[in-house]
Amino acid sequence: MSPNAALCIEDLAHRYGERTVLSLDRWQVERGEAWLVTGPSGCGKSTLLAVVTGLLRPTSGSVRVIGQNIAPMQESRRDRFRGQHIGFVPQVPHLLATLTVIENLLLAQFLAGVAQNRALARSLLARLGVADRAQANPASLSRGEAQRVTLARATINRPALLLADEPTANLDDAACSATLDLLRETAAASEATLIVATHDARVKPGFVRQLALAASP
Amino acid sequence: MNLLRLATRELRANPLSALLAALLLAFGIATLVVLLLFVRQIEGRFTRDARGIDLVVGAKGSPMQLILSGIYHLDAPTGNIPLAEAERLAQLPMVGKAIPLGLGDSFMGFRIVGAPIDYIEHYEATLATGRLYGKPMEAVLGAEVARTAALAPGGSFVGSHGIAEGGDAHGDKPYQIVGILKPTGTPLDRLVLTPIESVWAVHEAHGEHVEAAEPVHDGDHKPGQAHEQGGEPAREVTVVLIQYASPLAAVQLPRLVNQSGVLQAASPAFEIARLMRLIGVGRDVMNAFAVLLIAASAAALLVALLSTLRGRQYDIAVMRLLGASRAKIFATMVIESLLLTTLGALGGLALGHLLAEGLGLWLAAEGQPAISGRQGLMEELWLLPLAWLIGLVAALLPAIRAARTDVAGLLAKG
Repeated sequence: MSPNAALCIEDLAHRYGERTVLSLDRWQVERGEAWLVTGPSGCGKSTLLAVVTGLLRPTSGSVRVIGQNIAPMQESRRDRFRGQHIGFVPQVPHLLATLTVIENLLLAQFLAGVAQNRALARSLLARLGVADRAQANPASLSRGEAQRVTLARATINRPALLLADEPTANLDDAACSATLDLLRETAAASEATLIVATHDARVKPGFVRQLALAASP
Repeated sequence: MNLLRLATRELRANPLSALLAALLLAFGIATLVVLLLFVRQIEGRFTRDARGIDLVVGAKGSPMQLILSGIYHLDAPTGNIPLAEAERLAQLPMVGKAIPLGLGDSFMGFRIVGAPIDYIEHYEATLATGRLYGKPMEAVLGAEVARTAALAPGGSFVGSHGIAEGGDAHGDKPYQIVGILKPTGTPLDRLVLTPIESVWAVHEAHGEHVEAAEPVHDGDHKPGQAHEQGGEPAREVTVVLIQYASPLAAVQLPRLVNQSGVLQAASPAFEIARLMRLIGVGRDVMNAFAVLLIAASAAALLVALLSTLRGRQYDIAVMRLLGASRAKIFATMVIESLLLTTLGALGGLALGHLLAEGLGLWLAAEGQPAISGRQGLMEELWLLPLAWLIGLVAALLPAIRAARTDVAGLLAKG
């Protein structure tokens, strides 16, 4: 195992009762790489994402993120680790409607337990082209704007891993490639390792490194 | 950003059902505050007005009535006792101070009380204007009487028979006002004070003796009860307020008085305690009502918090993704609840004081001892922790549910 790995998974298995929903012998992701995780519905993509983010403790195996095995960690430690080192972009951009755009970014810093930095939040919004919406109510954002803000929020703590779950679902071709470009740019700018999980065939040509999960029997 | 701010924003976004719960709590707390203020102030007032008075002696009847009429001038007097008996009592070595009062007439609903200057001194009342009375038919007005009647020294008025408004006027014997007392916060404020000889003179003119034993709303003249001794009317007083010379008197004097045929002695401390126990029943009923309101507010709060949960699942998922532990999610919910109950409690305290002040003004207009909402009690401080406890209990189930949100499952569904 390379000490430089952003993510290193070994002998991973997750079962619900007798049913194995995820099984992965070995997967290593080096820093700065961009990976695509593909597979049909029910292949365990979501479970893999939940395990890598530390939301789910796998039944067995080790999950090293920047060298630390998060699988055996206590839940509250995994939560803190996730907040500081893992950015997550859900399929549907979701911002807390009770907060303004910039407060959604500050929330990410607060919940990760790092100092809240309004200037950093502003510069990030500016880089993603939504600086003028900093004080806006999330409900007033277009889908594209909401996606950019969600990305800003996911990367504000400079995570080692940036995970995206079906980021192109329900997007037309133009929006699809724009979204992928945005993900790559943002990951590169924050020096994060990008992992995209999708079953969208349009995405495949853009990634050299791919992990194909097979549907579980 | 912090949990408090997060909770405030959440409440502002969904204010209606949450505010309803807070309002219910406010009503419950307000009821408790009003009760607390009333009971404490009435008790305090009754105790204060009776300070320095160890025993009230008057005609036989209800001891409670004797105390209420003799000290507080609230109820009708029990009757009159011969002056000779009162004077004999005052001579006893056990008696430190004896203040005889003669009641029976009123002016604009305020009682005219024949009393020695000692009575005014007992309550440490001082003059606002004029001087104290020196001879019969001179009168000193309590502060509230002077204000209501808009009279000043130099003016005059006639009393009417009976202690309620609407009795026959003693038109031939007007009182001369010589002084007005400063407000004292004691029964004196609502009294017209005059030498006891005035009371005798007014009723001698009518060819009868002091008649006090009538019910409050009975303005009719009744024939005298006793003491019609030839043409010369007997001198009578209504009550004698007594201060003991020594603690030993507490044991002997009441028994001595009650053994006599016509006299009755009543202890203010004992009767006040009895009165408070009687009031206590009503207070318990109101207390139960307040507890019911508070319980309803807890239920409303529980429902309000639970109903927001469904709409907040994704918010909770996002917070967890951003690094929030389950404990933090739990805490956010509890803080929201505590904010609401704090709001409810503070609102209830304000409302309670406002209500007490309003009721006090109304009671004062009705001629009852005034209650004020403008004073706080140490006991009220307990209401805040009580509200917090309610907030905590009501938030427990919703907070546990929020903390248990299945984030991985939610994300898998997309």
